[in-house]
Amino acid sequence: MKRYSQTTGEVGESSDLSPWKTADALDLVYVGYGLLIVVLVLVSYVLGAFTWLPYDPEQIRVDLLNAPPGSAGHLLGTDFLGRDILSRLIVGIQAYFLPGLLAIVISLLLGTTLGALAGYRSGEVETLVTYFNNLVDSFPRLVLILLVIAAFKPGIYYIMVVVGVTGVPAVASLIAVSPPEEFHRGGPCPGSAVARDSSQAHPVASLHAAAGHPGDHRHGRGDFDRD
Amino acid sequence: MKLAATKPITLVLARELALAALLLVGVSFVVFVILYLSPGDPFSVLLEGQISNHAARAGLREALGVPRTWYVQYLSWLGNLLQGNFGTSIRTGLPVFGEIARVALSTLYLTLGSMLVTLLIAVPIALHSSVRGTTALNWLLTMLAYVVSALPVFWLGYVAVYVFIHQFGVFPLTARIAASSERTWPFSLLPIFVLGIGNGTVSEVVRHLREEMSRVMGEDYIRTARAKGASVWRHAFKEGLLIPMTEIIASKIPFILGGAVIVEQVFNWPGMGRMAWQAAQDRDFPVIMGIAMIAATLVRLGSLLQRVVYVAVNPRASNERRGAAWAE
Repeated sequence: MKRYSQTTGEVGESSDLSPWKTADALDLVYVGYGLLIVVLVLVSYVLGAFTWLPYDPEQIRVDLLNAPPGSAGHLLGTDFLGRDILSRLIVGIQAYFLPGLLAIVISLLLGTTLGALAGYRSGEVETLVTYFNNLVDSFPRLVLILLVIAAFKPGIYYIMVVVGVTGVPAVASLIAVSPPEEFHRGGPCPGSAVARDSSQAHPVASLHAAAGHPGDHRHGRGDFDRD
Repeated sequence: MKLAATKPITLVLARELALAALLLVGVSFVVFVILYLSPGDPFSVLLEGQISNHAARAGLREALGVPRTWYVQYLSWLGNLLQGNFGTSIRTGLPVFGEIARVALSTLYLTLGSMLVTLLIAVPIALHSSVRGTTALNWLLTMLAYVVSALPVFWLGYVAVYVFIHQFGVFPLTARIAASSERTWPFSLLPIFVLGIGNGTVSEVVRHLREEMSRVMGEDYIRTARAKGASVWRHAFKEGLLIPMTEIIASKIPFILGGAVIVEQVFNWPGMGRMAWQAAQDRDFPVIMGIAMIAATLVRLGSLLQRVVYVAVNPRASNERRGAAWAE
């Protein structure tokens, strides 16, 4: 039952294969998706900056409402006001990307801090961080967003702060769950899907992934002695 | 013997209930603080243009308890909450709890149905690929699950409405409104399928189940079972399917509830999500506070159930000391 191409063999021994050869198909998909986003954003900024847009995204054409794709030079057609959809998409990527970046920065900064704290100082600190994680995980993200919209004025940056904060538990438990020894022992990558899923799935014991599985198996760390 | 079998569950139940209560108090505090920090107060929306007399406005504010200090406000709200009194809606003037209870059932119907759809899609793929290894068929199916999970639910919802209702007319559009109509259920199929496919959890369920199941299939006790000719399925079921399934469901409840908000909006489904949406636009604080509390309670309930199943399957897990599990 050999499934993991990432298995690292003996303790402390590193794989001879290049990271690309040992990577999961899924990892490649993630990397590819990330690169696609970067490329799209770059294209958006470059085209936007040099005004190489096919049409003015704001230009309203009453004679071309809801035009189908490909008509009259509009590659993706026009919307209900006759504005060129391709141009609006290109410019729209910028509005899509920047707030998202804010959300990710918030989750990474807060999550890494909390996770590192919990990982290095177990005991009360870890309990506190676990409590915080469970607290944030108790909210459906969209309900929290609606709550914030109701409280403050609707704005993309308010929403992204909420998205960032709700992303903290995942990052924190990911960091906390990989104790330093794991790196020396040549264990599985701390970001592997095993650690990620189980740490999220445990409602209470979310920091120590897969604590006390039947058969005393600790996944995320028993992985390397499996053939 | 019987005592040993029941004790861990009660122990865990008590501990988890206490923890859930503590977390819900925390949730209520967060909800309160967010709304307390909001600029202005909700009653300005209500009073604007209705009562021009400044003194009368101040009097009404006094009566509604606005000028009190924050902790008095919080504690009185929490006290009411514990008695099942969620306050009255600013917009409709009706008790919030009754309003939510009126629509909660249809949201539950939608979310449970969509959860079932997710599992019906994900479990066969996961089982097939964990038992048979990666074949061309289940590679394709897994990739399909990933692609499908990446579709945003609002997009999928509108496309489904366009294709199935406008183009083909397979489903009725508005049957849910006439609740007594006997053709209610065909309409609810479409939202349930859209949420089940589009809530973005299909791929994660597949991945989690497959990883757990193939881990279990590699365990010694499965090899023993196989060697002595016992049913592998019966031995692998608890640890390989039941536990991961409850784990993943419990952790995805927030996502499914969040997706329900959008699906209810797209399909005009009279549920909690639409109510929350409406309340956010009206700045109807009591309603949205109540919905947030009830959603959090549902999430905690899911975790509780997961924990109970976990300990029921593996009573030893109840003895483990939290926080020291990976320190060994």
